[in-house]
Amino acid sequence: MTSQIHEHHKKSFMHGSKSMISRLRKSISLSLLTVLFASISIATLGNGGEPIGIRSAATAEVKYIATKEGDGMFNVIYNNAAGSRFSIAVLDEYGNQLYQGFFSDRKFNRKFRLADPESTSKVTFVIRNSGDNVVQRFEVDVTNQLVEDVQVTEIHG
Amino acid sequence: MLVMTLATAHAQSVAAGDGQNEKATVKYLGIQDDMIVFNVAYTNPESNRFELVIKDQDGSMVYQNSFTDKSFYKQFRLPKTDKDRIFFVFHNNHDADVVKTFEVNVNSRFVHSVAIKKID
Repeated sequence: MTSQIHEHHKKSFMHGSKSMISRLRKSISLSLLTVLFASISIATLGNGGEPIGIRSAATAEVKYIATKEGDGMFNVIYNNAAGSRFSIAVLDEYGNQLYQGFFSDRKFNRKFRLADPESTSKVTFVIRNSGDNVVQRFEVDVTNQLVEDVQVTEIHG
Repeated sequence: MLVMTLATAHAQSVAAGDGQNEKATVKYLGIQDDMIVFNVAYTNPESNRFELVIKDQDGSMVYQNSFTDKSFYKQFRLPKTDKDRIFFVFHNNHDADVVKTFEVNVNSRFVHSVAIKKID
């Protein structure tokens, strides 16, 4: 299912032992980070509920970038100041997952292209941050319209 | 054979002099309800019988009829097709045929409208 969407940065599609080890390492460090954030969170609650310290609940952005070829791209920008692990999932109109990728970039800025834009009418980008459990959803409605430009000119013999 | 017919018609059109060409006027008006609209006028002061034939680029007849109107005026709506040439042939038994040729280019393209909203 993930093959239905192409991401410009191929890093996230890497499969194999290297990436597995790397993921395992990330996973371990993420667990440590989660514990750290949990501690901060508890400390925050004990401090009158005012959030302090590093928060990763920055608002993400999903923008559409039209291309000359007609098939646009989606630019996902996420300022993940805490560097927490987060996932980006792309769902079709029926809720089927077209793509899922995990990242921890602090300044995430990547472009996604739909594999079959003509037959896609609705997609949802779900950004889920494991650090603060904040989930952000962006609903994208795509309308494809066939336009015919007609030019009629008289040919003088 | 059809190409020959059209080529002949074209040759006659070029040869149609002495104001014959000015007798017939074909104007492209635009697109209405997905149809290509033309206004066709023909000056026929002697009320001679004349024939109007509309052909596509393959020489296939799209329309044919004969008239005796002194001042003929008619609007034609032709379907959009991938045929890129339309010929209006005015024929009477006295003068050379007058042929008005139009080139039609239809460019189809997809237009994507994208609306993005944050739902939570």
